[in-house]
Amino acid sequence: MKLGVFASGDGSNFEALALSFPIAFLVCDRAGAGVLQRAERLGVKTYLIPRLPGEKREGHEERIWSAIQNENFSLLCLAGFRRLLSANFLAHFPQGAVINIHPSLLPLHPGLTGYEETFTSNAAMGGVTVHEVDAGLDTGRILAQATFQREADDTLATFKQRGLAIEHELYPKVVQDILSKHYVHRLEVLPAAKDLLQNAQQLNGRVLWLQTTGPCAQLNHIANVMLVDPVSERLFTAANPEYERHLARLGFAMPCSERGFHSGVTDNAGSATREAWELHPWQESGLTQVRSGETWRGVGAMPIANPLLQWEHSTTNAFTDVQWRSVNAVTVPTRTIELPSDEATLLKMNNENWWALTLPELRLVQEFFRTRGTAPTDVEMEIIAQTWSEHCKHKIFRANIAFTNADSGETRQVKSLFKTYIKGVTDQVRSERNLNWLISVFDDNAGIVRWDNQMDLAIKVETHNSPSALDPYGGALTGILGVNRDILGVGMGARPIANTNVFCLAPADLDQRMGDAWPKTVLPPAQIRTGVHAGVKDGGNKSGIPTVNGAFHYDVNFAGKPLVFCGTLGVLPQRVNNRPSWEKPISVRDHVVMVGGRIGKDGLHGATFSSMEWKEGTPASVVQIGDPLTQKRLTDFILEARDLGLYSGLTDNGAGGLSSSVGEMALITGGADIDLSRAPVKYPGLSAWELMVSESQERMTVAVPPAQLETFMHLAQLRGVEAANLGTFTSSGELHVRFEGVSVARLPLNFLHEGLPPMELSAKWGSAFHWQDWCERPELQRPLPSTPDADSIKTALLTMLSHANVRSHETWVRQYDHEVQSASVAKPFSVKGAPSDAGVIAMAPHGGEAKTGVVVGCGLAPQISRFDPYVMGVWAVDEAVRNTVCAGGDPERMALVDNFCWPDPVVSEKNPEGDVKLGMLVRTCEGMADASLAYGLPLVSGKDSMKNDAYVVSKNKPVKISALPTLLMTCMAHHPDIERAIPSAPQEAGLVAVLLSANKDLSAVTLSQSFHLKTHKPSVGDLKQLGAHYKTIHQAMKQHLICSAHDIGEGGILTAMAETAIGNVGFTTDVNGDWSVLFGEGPGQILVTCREADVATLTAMFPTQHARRVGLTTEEGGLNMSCYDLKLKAADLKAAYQEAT
Amino acid sequence: MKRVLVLKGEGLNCERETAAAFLRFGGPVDVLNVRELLSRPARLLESDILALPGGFSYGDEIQSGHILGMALKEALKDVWPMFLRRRGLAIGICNGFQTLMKMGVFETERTMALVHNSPAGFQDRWVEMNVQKSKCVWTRGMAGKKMRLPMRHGEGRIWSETTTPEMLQTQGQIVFTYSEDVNGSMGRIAGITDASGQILGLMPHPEAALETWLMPDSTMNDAIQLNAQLFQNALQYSGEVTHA
Repeated sequence: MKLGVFASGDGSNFEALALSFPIAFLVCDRAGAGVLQRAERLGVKTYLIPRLPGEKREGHEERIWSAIQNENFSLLCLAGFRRLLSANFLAHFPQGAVINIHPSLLPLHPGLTGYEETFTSNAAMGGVTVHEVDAGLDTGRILAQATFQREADDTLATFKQRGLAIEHELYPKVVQDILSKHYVHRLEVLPAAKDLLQNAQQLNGRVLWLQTTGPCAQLNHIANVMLVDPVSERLFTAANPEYERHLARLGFAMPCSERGFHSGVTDNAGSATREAWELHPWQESGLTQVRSGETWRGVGAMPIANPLLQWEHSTTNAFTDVQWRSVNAVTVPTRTIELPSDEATLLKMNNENWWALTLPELRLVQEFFRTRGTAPTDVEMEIIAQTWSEHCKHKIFRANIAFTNADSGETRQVKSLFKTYIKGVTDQVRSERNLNWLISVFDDNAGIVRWDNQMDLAIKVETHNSPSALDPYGGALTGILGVNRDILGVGMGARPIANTNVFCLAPADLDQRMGDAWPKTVLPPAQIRTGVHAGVKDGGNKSGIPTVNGAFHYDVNFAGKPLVFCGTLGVLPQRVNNRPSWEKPISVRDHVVMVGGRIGKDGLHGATFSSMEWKEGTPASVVQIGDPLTQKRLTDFILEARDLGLYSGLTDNGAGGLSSSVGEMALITGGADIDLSRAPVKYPGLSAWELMVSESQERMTVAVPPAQLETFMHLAQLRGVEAANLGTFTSSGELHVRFEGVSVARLPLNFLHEGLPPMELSAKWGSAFHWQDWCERPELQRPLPSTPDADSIKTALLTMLSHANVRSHETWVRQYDHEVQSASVAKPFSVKGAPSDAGVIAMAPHGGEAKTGVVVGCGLAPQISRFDPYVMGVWAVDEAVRNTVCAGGDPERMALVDNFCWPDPVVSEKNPEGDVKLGMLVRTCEGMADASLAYGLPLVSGKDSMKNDAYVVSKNKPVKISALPTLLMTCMAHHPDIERAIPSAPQEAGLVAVLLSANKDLSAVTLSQSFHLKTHKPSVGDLKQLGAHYKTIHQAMKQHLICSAHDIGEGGILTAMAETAIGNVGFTTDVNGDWSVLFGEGPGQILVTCREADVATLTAMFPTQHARRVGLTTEEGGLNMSCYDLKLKAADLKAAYQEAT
Repeated sequence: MKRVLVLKGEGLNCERETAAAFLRFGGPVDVLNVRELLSRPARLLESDILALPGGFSYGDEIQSGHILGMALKEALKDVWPMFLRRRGLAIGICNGFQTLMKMGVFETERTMALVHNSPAGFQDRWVEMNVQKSKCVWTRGMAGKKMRLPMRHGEGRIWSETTTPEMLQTQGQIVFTYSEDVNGSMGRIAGITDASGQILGLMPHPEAALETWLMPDSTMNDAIQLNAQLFQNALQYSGEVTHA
């Protein structure tokens, strides 16, 4: 760090400084001053800038400033500079960056003659002062003073001489002190002009807090070049008149609300700012930390802050009221834990430590350590708790369940839902159909299927419900980035090519409608929706992965925990490094290398937390924000390293952190030995157990063979990715963890991974059970005539189109980039706004076969779990398949992914109906399995989330909000010819509308949510017939008999017609009948259009009644119902369908 | 044939399709990590065309394209004039345009900025873009025609306190305008060129509209040929001095 010096005189202080510090420059205002010779002798760059005759101070200072403004210096020292600097000049520098030495004990004797005045005052002591410079005459804050005795025989000269000696000692000492001290600078960046405000009533500013070592005199210079746009922004570093003037120009004043992140919370703008700063050539400018924040001024609410992540305050002058707190964490040494034999104490300990283990599990652990003969360390307990968590081990899907059918009274044993209904189905389908394209299912981070003779495709869908309940943005963002890493970590690493997302949320205005009864600790639904949407948006857009398919679904029971499903498809070459890409050929002695983000306290206990219900006091450390840039760098690097053959295997650091990733990879070689001291940390103060289980994001664990280690680490460095070699894979049979030279955990892998016996649970379900909503459902219960007529159909149809579960959400969806990577054949909406049924991705751009594609669609029907969870299971499968078939997917080359989100299905004191919820789960699994088997479809991947309950307080009464049992099915299918992909909406007039339906038993479910209506119970139809139906439809598509196809889902056939009639082409239809015909829902219905000449060929392909002419397409958009003399204009339909929420 | 350098890394994400677009018209393409160019700026002079693709460089923090723009401006300050003198061409698409704007290549002193859309928010939608008569060599022979392609950005509004669309028009620097106001950009400008006509910056994505199966509507298929011409023009540019 260099000094700038201003001097006018002899320059002895200048020389004293120059002997101790590098000097950037000297400014001298007097020709012939002694300091000039000294500078020349010392080789210091000098600006001689005397004040010209008649020149004003401003002009002189202006010339000085132009000379030095591009100089790199940290501190400006005045050393006998005989001019008073103006406030304007000093405003170039941060406070404390200009100092002066003065020859008296200030505040005595300011001015040019300090020694003289002290001497003549006959004081017993002389003194010198170092002070900050302000615009006053030696009035700045005093930094240091030193005194010396006046001797009896002192003359002014000797007095002064001794003073100077003190000065030469004191000044360098104070400078040294200043240069090693930390300073916090507040920078506020405001729009340059009023017309840059999105809303003239509200001003949003960017704030940066920069901590520097030394006062960083040229802060403004660097910030103006690197951190601010010179055209559209203005930088302010102090509450000076210019700041006030600028605020006034924008129509605002100084007072503001200000917010920033709590210390330790991921701050992407802060880290990027730091990178920008470091690009400036002045590397030594002393930046140590950066935080980002915002200011808000004006009327209207600012977006709500999340107190778990952000602080917020109102202030009249944010520059004098600087908020700064450093992370202050203390490493707690690893400790040994004595597990008490007393049950109550043991359970208390379990709760306090967030282990989330059950009593039998705790006893098992206790027994293990008793046999071992030594008590567990906290690291060991945490590893076991994470590995055995519901989140990681899926204990409920592996449990032995005694299921009682309450209708028949019959009880039977289900030995693992997973083995029976998921893996069992896949095994059966695989053998019945002799499938050879299931490459890796249920073994790895994602399912892998063979797509053509070039590429394999991987698919995975995750949920991130609990984190999204606490911080919707961070929860959804880390959800999407997490599932991307699952794909990146499958086999030898797949490249993500598409994202999907489904949100199950409470109605956006539910809190307002409930008023006082709304539980205070639950985030408002509108805030949750905005947050999760922004998270998915940033997660996809900033990673360059198109978001191609998804859904918004609303129900009051999603108020406590929103369901946030994030899915990703990836491609991987079939061979990597001349081996099958789905295997991970990790060998003993390969290194355990952690790459990507650093470890912090964020994301502690994510796995165990999501396996528990949320109560007040949940630690905020479970909340985490994602960092898409770090992840993008990581992704680019991993794929490059993969293609160079630099590693032998990898996996994501997701739930459970290193404990899970290293623990799982260690199974391949039979052991691992790692040293946590080598792991890079975000800040000091992490304990060993925290390092082991923290879920800090954007990290992967990679196995690197010794021969590749150097190349791997070098490439990581070149790509700006942090990599740390933590240890090696072994064959010792155990997971061995060290920290700071000591063993902190030693656990046999077979105990960790096989030691847990299945749970024994009981379940029941019968038609008499009814789902209990936690609050009243706010749907309008309006009357409807028993026989539909023109008026009531119009009302019903417009209501259906604007129903929250039907309406387009186009303004939300268009904020996702759905076509980056330039392979998205289907867009979510037509140019006119008609919805697509599924995403379609071309494979050629991804290295696959020309003309072919992959279709991805989804299905869910949580509302049906109110009637019959078995039907819900079938409907979810059917809708996913139906959507995928509509978009051209081949039912013969189709695979399914299941995601179960359930309320707690285990009976306990606070959850007495757990067995019914488990019964619902069994029934849903049966429905899903029956449909999958009937359609002949394998399941290739899946996930479950089992504790979607919130225990809260409403009007002083405890309330449990349980999420509606929900099965999301995601369907992926081969598209044989994307060049002939068909749209969902008809493109020309004169086509025949044909209803392809293999189902007579329809139920107007969605209509009955809005109107008083008795409707049939939802049913499943003939599953075998439905499976055949879809295959025939696909055959018809391949024969080019179908011009457009649209799924008939919520709101039935009229809604489906209306959604696709909002463009230039509409329908005239003779559909008529009762409400369940017009708005009936159920499996197996698709609306297609077909050329008149092809109608006979098309209908002949189907059994009678399964293909029925229902109308024609028309020249003009809109819907014309001939049987009711009802005409609805495209614009009216569109307005209802696109209604904003 | 011209040699094309496409940048990747540091949050950029359209390098694959941008490289593919040049490749399909025969251009030899190198895809290079930004960090490699920053550490060896002379690498630029081994290419004839520099393509800055879309993406979120440095996470779009501070402002879109800001950090990458600052980094390239500093690293390329010596080679950039040389590159242009050798008749090098440059294109910045979306984040690439934002980056070129930050580098200040369109003006002698910056007066323009790409700011948040009005109304605010990222939008993915297909737009119609009119090719203006300009000095840009990338769009030779295309003036008066209409391109159809997707816009996918949140900060694409061209804004200035001092420069007006008329001034840019007079200098032959307006290359593309939107048919409708999609983001509040002054004069509905979608793309501009520099004083030499060799540098093109535009917000929408021509590399994403070169296949019939990427077009959202079969009525747009005619635009593909025009979108393609942009890349062909650059690859065939012989380097003669241009006039508006």
